[in-house]
Amino acid sequence: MHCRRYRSAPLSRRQMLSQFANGFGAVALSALLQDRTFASSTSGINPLAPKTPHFPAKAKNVIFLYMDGGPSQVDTFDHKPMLEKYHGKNPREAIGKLEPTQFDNIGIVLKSPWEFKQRGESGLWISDLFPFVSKVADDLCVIKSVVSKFPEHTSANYFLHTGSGLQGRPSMGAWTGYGLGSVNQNLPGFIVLNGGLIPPGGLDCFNSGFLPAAYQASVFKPADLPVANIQPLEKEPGRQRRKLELIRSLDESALDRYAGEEQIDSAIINYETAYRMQSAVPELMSIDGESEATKKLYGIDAEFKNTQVFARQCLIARRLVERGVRFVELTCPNGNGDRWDQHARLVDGHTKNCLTVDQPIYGLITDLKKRGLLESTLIVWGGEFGRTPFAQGTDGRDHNPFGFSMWMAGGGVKGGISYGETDDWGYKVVDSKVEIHDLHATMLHLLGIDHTRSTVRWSGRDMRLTDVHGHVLRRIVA
Amino acid sequence: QSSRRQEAFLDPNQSVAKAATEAHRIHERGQSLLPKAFAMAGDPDKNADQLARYLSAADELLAATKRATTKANPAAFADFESGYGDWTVEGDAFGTQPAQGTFKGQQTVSGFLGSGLVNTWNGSDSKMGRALSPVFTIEKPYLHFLIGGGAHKGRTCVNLLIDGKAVLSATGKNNEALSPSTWDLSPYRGKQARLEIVDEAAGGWGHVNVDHFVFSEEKSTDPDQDSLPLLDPALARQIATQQGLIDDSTLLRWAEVLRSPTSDDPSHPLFLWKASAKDPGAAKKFGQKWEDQAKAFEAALKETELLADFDSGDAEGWTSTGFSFDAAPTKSPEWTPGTDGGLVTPAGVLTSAELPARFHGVLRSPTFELTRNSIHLRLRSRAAEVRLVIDGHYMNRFHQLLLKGTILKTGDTDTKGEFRWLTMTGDVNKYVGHRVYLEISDLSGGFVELDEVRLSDAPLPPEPPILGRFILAHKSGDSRAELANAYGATWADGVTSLQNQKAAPAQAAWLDFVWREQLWPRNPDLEETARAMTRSNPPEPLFATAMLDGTPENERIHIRGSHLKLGDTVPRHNLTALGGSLAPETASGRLELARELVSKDNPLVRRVAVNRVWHHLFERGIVPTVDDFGVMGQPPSHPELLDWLATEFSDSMNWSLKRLLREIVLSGTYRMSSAPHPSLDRERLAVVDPGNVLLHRAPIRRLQAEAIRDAILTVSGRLDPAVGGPSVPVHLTSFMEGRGRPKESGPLDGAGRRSLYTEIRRNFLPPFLLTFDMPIPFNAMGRRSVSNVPAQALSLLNDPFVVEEAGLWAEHITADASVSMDDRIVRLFQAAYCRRPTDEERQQIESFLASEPDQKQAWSDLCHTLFNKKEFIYLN
Repeated sequence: MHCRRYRSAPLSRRQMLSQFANGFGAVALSALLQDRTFASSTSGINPLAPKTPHFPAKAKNVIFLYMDGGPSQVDTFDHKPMLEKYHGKNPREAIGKLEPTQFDNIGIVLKSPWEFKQRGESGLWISDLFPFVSKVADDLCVIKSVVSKFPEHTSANYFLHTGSGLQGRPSMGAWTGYGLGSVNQNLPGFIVLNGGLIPPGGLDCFNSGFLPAAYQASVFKPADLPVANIQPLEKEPGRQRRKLELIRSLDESALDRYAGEEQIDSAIINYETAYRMQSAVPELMSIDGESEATKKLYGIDAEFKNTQVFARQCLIARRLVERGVRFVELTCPNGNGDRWDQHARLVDGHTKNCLTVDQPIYGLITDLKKRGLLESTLIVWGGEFGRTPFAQGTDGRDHNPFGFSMWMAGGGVKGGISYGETDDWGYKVVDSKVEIHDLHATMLHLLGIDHTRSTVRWSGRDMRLTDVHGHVLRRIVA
Repeated sequence: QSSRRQEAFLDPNQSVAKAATEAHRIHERGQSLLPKAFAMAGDPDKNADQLARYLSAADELLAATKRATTKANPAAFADFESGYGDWTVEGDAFGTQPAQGTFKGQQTVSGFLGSGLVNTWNGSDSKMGRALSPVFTIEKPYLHFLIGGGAHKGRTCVNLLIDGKAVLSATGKNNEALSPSTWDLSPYRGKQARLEIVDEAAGGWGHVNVDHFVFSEEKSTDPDQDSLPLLDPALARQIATQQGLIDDSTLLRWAEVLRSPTSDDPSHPLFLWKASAKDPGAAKKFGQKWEDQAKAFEAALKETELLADFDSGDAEGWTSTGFSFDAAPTKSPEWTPGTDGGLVTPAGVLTSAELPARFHGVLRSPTFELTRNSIHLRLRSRAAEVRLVIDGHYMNRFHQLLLKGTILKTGDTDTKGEFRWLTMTGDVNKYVGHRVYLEISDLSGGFVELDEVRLSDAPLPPEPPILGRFILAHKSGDSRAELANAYGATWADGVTSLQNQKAAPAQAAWLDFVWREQLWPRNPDLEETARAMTRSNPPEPLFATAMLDGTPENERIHIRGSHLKLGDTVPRHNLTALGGSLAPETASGRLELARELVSKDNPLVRRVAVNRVWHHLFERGIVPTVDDFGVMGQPPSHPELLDWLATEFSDSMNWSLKRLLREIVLSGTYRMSSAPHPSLDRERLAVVDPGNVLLHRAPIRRLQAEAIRDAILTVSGRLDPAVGGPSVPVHLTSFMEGRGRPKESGPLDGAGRRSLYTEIRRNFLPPFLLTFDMPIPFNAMGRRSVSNVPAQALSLLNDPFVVEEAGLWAEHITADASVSMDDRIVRLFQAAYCRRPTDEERQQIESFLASEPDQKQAWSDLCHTLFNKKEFIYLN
């Protein structure tokens, strides 16, 4: 059923449609069975048609656990005994010259209020903030040497998401769609599961920039109807069907006006897909079919309400990955202090934030592993920057882009290792610096995309997610 | 940074400019009247004498008024004006008669009424005693009295005695001033009582001051008591005649100003006069204080860096836009009627007050390097805004978290008619070393006059009062008469200097004050001129965001685009590939660049322009890469056509886009059908021109996002075709979340206005338009992507906007019951597709309508269906 067959013979196209003349539902049904066929028949026009990666991919999907606000590395994954030794000292004397911070309200050298232990067989250092994640320490690849170019949320968020601190560039999820297309034509290729917090910088962290609009994220609310226009407005089910019948027959009658133009064929087929999406999306968002054990694993029944919210996001993320959605990003639930941005009351804020995400993340990794999906699903955890090892005021930490921790799991990265080092204070990187561009290059690499070859011509040059930067972190690739 | 982004003034019909020219003419006339207006009394000696007389006559008027009104005070139970009356007095603290104010050697006692009060200091704190009132019956619920002196409980106090016991008691606050005190007597109503004044303390503050017991029905003392009594015009007339004054209404103004609390402030021009009435040593005391202040101030000034003082009559590099600023500083004191009543501005000032406040303008400093932590501006203003633009970042009002102190808002800049120093500090220190400029505007209907700008690291101490020091330096004796003469002489000398077009700053300040406060008889000619000025009524200003010339600046290369890695300074010039001509030294070069772009020798701009128009009409430019005519772009499909159109466009069409559009849409090429001509061999076409690059037929084009929405509104009859006006707030769905979400949503149908007028909020873009590839508005996008995705089908099927408009369309089409079904269908097709339905289509629709019993629903569904027919958004 290659489209070009019909190029100069529009009537054949009509004949083809009339083969499905049993009605729209029948078209939809047969299309469901032949998803890939439909997709490839519109290639060149459908931007979401699956594409072949540059080389065999280790990961098919990405789940980005976005920790809005900037978690503190020295309280989570970057163990620094020197902070205990020098706790209470003037950081300008103990550490030396300090970079300006956002609020320039520099207090004492501040040790972590939480104890660090070595976890799992690998002996990765993880603080007591993450009792559940600690159980899967041997799956984590902790990168302790990430740096950002921006010490302020909005620019840093754009940078983390798009590789540029300016507003309006394509998000990494959009680049993934651009590089690989989508294997599920009923769902967008890039979905943000909104826990309640849209980060500073707004929806433009998830935009498609100069790439076609089809690559932008669909932001799903944590509700049965997660996106706009997915529910038919017709009250009785047959009414929309009757309209669709008329649309189809009118379109069919007028096909020869378009000289077999491919885009008209595609637009007609889009109605069939749209019809299916109306049921596919609500089905996806319903977790009624999940077993009690699975729900419990994620913490759907947890006491803390935000744990329940994030547990549901993680569980739906798994369902999206199962359905072939390429790039899933989770934002944090609201109400744990100001995101992870603990300029003050570090203990209260970080305790709540960790309580929110700890068990659900453990549930997600464990569940994916059990289902054999972890190998093909890259999980990335982190924020837009880290926090200072010294206090802001008395009980907070300010922004620190000079060295912070993120971790990856599954999707072809080695588990139970750590990469890179910060100095004795957890302040600045001293070994194996990882730029955000390197992170992007590595993520694309794991997805089978050469970041230097995934380009789009815009504004007179070939643009990339990694711009002119980026090195794949080969040491962490399994 | 040679250019500055700004809200530039638009004056489409020159109406503001014309009003401004007329106002300037009136201003010149007023200016010529000014010396005469001040010199009404005749020669300088007479002027000086008159002003001094007004001063002392005002004192006399106030004293007489006080005498007249004190008598009228409500009856007091005891006011101690004429002896102790029936009170019983014991000990030596009370004397035989109540005190008359302050005792010799005592700190000044104030706050009492009339002249007598109880003051148990009586020579020293050691004296003690007691005074007892006669017995009375409590009838009214409140007792008001005044009390001062010691704060010793039970020992320097007033007590209310019932059955010999103190049930209420009050003391002073270790302060000689008496302040009002009120007791609630309602629990004791009907009881017999006595008042007792006690001084049983001998040490520090061992005395009590008491006055004016009043029983009252009211909880608060009579509010009218606080307001000043009316000045009696008859009294003023009498005094004016006695003193030989020019008029009595000016005398009333003098009295009003003198008794106002604002003249108690040491910086007030009349402070010395007022203070010396109470304290003969005031002049000496404050003279010394001001000299000390002056020393500290001068020393601090030495540490500052002068940015501008305009004293040489020059404001080099300062520019103004709009209509209210004179770009040159005042050369002599000027009449500046830009505030109500008008004032006088000294020489060496940039002012926006020559014209009424309805004229607006913006003043900008040259770009300079910020070298210190703080910027101090000596200015006089009302409702002006001063801001610092750092590195050309003109959005600082939206980033106050990081740029505190870089804006003095309109509320912070009311200097109450005087020149004062205002300081910009806060985050200013973070930008030392950066290139900055000051922007001073009077857009909110006020005015501003800028005298001096300095930079410093340390705070600036207070500047001593300029007039007060001048008066002290010029008075010839210590008496109040000499002081009045000094005020008079300063006035007369100032008027003379004004006639000679030069006046010392202090003289100008005094002239200005006297004029502003109407302390000199009005000159009817000048009054009439001022009134003429207020009649000019310019329209409200219009603005457009634009880049205009600033201070010429050369930039340094940003190595690899980083502002932190700076390379060499590069002179401003056009792109080397385009000739690289240098900008003139005295300007940014924008104008020269613009001229080069449209010059006869430059074919590039017109080629790009006509190609864009072609692109919009054919969905593919003659050069398909509309943003890139360079080596990375694609070559033109019809180079000769492109050049012909470009030349026609600039030459015979005189750059008129309208004429260019007409030329193209009337061409045979544009009017072709999208079906290939029957005579063309399709097999061959598939080989020769498969992509229709050669335009062997009309291209199939999908409408752009905005046009789809506009088309829906057009056929539904909802479209409001009005041109211009404010944008319509974006409609917010529950899926549009995030920081900065507007509190209220705009209407679902955008009030029927064209999509052009939908408000663009960067993080809340209209989802319907985005679905159809409206580009995000942060980058230039010469060629939109045209995607074809299921979300578009979902939008047209399920978006409430589309369904609502379908219903509206159906209502319109069925409104006239006499129109047949057939005709209705024809009308629908002609509205939506500009053609009649085929028989096949007609049959399909008729059977659809027949299958639905509810005809209203049926037509609405049909209209919805027609929006979804591909022909609605795909032009063929």
